[in-house]
Amino acid sequence: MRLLSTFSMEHLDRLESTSIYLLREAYYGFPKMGMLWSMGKDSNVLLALVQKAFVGQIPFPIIHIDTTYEFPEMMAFRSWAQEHYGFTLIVHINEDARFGRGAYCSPIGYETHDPLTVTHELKTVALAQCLREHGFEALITGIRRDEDATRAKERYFSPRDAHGAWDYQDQPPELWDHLMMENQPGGHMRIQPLLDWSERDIWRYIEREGIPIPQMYFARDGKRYRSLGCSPITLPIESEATTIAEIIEELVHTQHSERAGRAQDHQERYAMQKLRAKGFL
Amino acid sequence: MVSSSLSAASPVRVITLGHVDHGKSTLLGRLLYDAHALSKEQLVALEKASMAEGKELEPAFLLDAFLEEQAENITIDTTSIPFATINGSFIMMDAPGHREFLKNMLTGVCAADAAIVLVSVIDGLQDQTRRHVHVLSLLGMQQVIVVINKLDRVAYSKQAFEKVAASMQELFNEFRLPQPRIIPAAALLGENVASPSPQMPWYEGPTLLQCLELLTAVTSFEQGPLRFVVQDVYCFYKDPLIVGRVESGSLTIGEELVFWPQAGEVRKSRLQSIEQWGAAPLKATKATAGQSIAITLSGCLAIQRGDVASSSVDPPMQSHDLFIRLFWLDSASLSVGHEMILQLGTQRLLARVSLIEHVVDATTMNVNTECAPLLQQHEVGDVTLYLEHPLVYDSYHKLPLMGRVVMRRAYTRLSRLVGAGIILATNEAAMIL
Repeated sequence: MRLLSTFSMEHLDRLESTSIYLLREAYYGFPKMGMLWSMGKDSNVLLALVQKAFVGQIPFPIIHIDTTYEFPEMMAFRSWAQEHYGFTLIVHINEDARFGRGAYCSPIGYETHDPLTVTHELKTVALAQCLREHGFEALITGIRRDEDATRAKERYFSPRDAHGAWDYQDQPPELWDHLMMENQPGGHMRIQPLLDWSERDIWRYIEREGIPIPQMYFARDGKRYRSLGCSPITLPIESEATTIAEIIEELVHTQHSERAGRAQDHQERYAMQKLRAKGFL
Repeated sequence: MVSSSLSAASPVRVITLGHVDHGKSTLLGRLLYDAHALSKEQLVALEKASMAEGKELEPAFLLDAFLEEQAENITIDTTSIPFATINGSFIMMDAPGHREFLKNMLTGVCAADAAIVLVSVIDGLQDQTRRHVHVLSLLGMQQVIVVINKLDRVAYSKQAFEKVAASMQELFNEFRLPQPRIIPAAALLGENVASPSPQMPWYEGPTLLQCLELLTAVTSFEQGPLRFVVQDVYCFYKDPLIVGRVESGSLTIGEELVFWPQAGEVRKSRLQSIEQWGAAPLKATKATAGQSIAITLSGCLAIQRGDVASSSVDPPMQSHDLFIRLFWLDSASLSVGHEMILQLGTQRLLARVSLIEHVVDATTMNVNTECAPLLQQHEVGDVTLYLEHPLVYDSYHKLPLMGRVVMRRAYTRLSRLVGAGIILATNEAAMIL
């Protein structure tokens, strides 16, 4: 825990300060706000930053878009975290799609459909349903620029239209920390405080602040998860790293990208772009 | 992205500017490729994408990640790509070169510590180059590297390079910018990008990568006068928590803070505490520039978003009248009597144009020294404004964080950004071009 009485800001302090600034701007501009949470490492860093920004409070609901394919360990972590932090949790499942009801003639799942379709129905569409149901004006997400080329072009406050679509051809300029504080009719704003954080920054911060995260990130039997998503489409990597220091060391020397084990990203050439234009994270 | 730097220092943010078709995306893609900053997945994706478009290896595809960009071969929006070498870490930003994407370019420059200006040796200095360098001078960008590209197309001719280099040096003089480092390169082939070029033995200067490694991230303003900008006030606990960011200087527990704007009675109070939350919260005694904080005061003052706290020494300016150098972005021209929203930090108020002077066209560099009735898109002018409420500020040259403003369209539902400007001290008008 760092004292504020240091004389020059270290890189992590700078990142932390900017993220806190963004969260406070968002809270001011969008009274009906929620935070998307996936129980992953970035999500948990975001939670810690929220507590810092609001001096111990988490003054808006935390949202988990549940595909029902989460690893059991992640679900256990979810229960634990809710108890530990005391936040209001909203869990949303696109039940019609998952169980083949309403507009869906048959259930959508990894057993029967490709990852792109499943991600779209059980995450993107589910999110849209949740937004409509609760009337959120803004959603905090933990995406980072270095995760994917299309995320590299994002803004801190990024507008989505009434259909949840992203107009990447006409993004508002963000000059000098002046952010877009208004929505289009029926639209919402994506608040993205972790854009400038690298994978390594995330791990260093987790270590420095002692932020709780699921144990799946650490090696067991020669394997660990670098990135966590739905269990059928998330692959572990070979690793012996059992501590954060070892994970960071591994990161410095790796040739592979963080999301290499996430099947929906690689299914086709423009997978991520197509998903994101329709409202994915 | 693969990150190999062990440095804990902030990465240097570098924007690449240049005319469309001079090869910006290619240059950046090549830099990342040659500096071994690409992951296996990115290399495979790059090769696949290049082949699908009928090319052997098109490094530009790395940044032009959008579908449309790859097919049409243009860059639509700004990308930020972090990369690192043993000697430094960087965030490379590529901005579009097309005229209608000027606002994205401005966003990029405003966020950058340094700029690369790219020019083709075949076409030389173009309209867009002039405009970019003008914006760099307007914003006081000190660290600039010029890359003269496509030397392979002129058989690596020293004369061709020197001709364009001379015109660039003249341009920088014209805009009163310090002389930049000028590098001859052939981005597509990697000549002088990350490694020295055997094709240009007449050039003995550094490669682009070496120049980048000499750059520094912009430092904060810890030694300056105190400026604490209020974002909000939270009433979660007994004492109201005033939250915001220290933009300049520092504040210490027990110190007397003066809150601006002033109207009649001076608003003063002692700093009671700096609140924190964390695993083991410790009571902080001091906060410095760059830090986002939450404070409580000893006295009972009405504080709100937009307020600025200073110490009693070296306070900010406060006025209903403002004199700014304005870069106009909107397609609708600005005229005297026009009203718009002005933002500085967390302050937001209505402004009306009283006078427009010294309008400069960024392309032709024609200066109209009479009072002009209009400021058109892409023009820069000295504008006098009357504000509905007093603004708290400093001149841009004294304290940039408190001297830069953005203008938004008023009286509409979605107030678009229409201009960006810097606040001039009243005797600065004589120093223009």
